[in-house]
Amino acid sequence: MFYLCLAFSSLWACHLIYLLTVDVQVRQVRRRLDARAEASPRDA
Amino acid sequence: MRRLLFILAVFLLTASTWMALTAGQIVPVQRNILYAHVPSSICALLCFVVLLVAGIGYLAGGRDIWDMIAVASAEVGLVYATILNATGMIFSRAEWNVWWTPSPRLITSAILWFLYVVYLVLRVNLPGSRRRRARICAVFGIIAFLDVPMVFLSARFIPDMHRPSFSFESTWQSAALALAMIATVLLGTAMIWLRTDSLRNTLRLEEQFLA
Repeated sequence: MFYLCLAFSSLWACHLIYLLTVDVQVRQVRRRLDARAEASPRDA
Repeated sequence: MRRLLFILAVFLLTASTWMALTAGQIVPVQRNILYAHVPSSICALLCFVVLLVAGIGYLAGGRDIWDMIAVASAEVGLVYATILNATGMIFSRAEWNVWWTPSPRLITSAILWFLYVVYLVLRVNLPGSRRRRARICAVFGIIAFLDVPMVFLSARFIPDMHRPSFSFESTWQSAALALAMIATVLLGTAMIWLRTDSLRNTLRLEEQFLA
């Protein structure tokens, strides 16, 4: 049972770590887009 | 649409896990790791197929979207190759009492993981323009695809402690595995889609800064 829990935990952990990494990157892009929109409102 | 795909995939994955732990349970209990291991292996190999198609598409047409799909599929492929090797090692420890053994399928699966890592390292570290990097990586992706038939066929043609296939005792077990496979492929597709969009926005932003 221990190994089964370990396997399923690693499955969910890998998915969550990757999705968190992508989420951080998406937030960075959004922040840069917002900063650009603030710097030149006509382009936004 | 993408959000719906994510919700559906997570729901199906949860349903298959529940089914695997109730009606479709395999005895002894550690063999239920197969429900995580087999779909991950299929998805890791499918990501390499996407990488191959995207590489050929980029070399043929030179459109940036192919390159972004290739990067996204390599990243998602790395996630599934990690799950494949991690769950494989845990299964090996539970079933054969060793974490690792030099069997053909285990070695080719480890090579699969390293190929994804090398692809992503090349992506970041190759000198030159973005187009040059994309071209070299597309060629690497196409050559690296040779490992996929090796993973698939190694256990069938070379004597190996890793079985080439697994026969189930009940339809519940087959249904749980089929559900897990569908869920994993859907989740992989959603993640590739999400990452491709993120890469496209980053590229658009960089082009705006350069303009």
